[in-house]
Amino acid sequence: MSQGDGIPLHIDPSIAPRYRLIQLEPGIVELLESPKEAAHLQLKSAGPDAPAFLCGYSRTFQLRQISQSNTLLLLSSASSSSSSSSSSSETTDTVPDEVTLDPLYATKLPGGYLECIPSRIQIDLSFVPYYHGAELKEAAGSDADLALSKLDVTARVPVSEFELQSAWIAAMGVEIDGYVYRISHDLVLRIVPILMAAIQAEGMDFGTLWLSEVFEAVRKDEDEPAAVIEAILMRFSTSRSEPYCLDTAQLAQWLGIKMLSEHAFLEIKLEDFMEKWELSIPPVLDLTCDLSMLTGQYVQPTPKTIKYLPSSRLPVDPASRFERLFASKSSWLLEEILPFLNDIEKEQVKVNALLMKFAKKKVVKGKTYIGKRGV
Amino acid sequence: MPSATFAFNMRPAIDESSSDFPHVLRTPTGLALIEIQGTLHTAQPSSDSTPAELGKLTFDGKTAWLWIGDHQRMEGSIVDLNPPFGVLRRVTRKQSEMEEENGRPDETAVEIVEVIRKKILFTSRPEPIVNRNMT
Repeated sequence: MSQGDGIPLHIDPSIAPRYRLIQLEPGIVELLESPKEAAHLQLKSAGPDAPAFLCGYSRTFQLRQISQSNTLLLLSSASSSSSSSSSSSETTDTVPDEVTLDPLYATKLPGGYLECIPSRIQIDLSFVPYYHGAELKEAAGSDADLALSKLDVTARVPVSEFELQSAWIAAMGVEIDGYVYRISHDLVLRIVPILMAAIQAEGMDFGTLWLSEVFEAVRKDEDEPAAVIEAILMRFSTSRSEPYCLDTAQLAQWLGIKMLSEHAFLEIKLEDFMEKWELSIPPVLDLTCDLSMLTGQYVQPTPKTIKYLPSSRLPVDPASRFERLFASKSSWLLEEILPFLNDIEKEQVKVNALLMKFAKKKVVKGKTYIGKRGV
Repeated sequence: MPSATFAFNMRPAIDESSSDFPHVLRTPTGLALIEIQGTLHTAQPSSDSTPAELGKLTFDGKTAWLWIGDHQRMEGSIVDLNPPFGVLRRVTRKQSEMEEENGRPDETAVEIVEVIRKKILFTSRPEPIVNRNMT
């Protein structure tokens, strides 16, 4: 093979700066090829030094720059400075060997490429102010400086639309007069029994609730705007749109966590807690409270006591997490500790690896106990 | 938080019938990738930015050669990229006059112009070529 009939390769410094390479792993390809995801694609970043996120409709990826020392050249058959003459087909009828081949223009790419990893950041909506009720809002007066619109929230959270909506519903976000808030827990505690009583009094079906009807029923006793009622309905419903179907288990869980968290992280009597929890459930719902509804939110230092311990607030780093867990209780049953490991590691194999690395297993009378290492 | 729309646009294919570039490397917009284990030193671009010739590329099946200058040749191979790479380009769309008056800044969009599935990888040092065949 000789040099004479080679394709000339030119270096054109003017093409490069506009291009970057991004690694297209299957997850990203899915994102790009799905019409629904692709329609919402956004790149978000808090600033030049903050991480960048690629957000689709329901999935979010974090972009990471991977450096490599090899030289990467991007070849194109048209120089940016030339007109389309170099790519015209004047030579189609001639034998390639007799003419100079169209040159290729190479430009150096900045070192490395972009990698996309599924984003694992927690959505933090704590910057959205609380709404404590219509009366309190009027008393507080105008707080325009702190006021946020829904657009402000969307712009501040680097996450896909669907994920943001899920977090918004869970936080009971509400829009009143163009500004957004999160409904305060005390307001929820006050409204829920009134809401349930009103629904029952009007003979409505808890499985098929229409906002306008529910709002009409509640207005006699409460003057909160419809948006507040809707946010509460959505939070405890199995569906995101009307008709809402009340999820009593979710409601019971929320109330249980609320009761637990009121004691901060102190150890309290199990009996007292269960009684308080039962009392908070609106009687119309005819629900039995069970500790299994609060998996991953509590620990029982002794069989007769209970303490608030939310897995979402534990350290993500395994070593620190195990330290916190053993500080609450020195010996755990395997089934008790698993919920506190499943949110940092989904695969059973990896969970077992963590247990082997940071803890000690002991089997007594058919039950597996997990304790601290080196004790 | 600043954000930019991200688009996956495949631009229309340009005419490649005159190109001797191997079929496997041809992509609709004509972009392909070369990787060299080493550093490329080029002369400073001249003031009118005319491209300078780096060398010549020839192909034989899965092997590629880069002929540099009169006396050197590098051997490389065509390698599959798994996963493939997307080529990102930033585009600034000029808004209409009315939108500019309203204070909306020019929108920045990022698009994937091309998906590259193969690259030419050069890992060895250039070898000296003594007998130069020029037709």
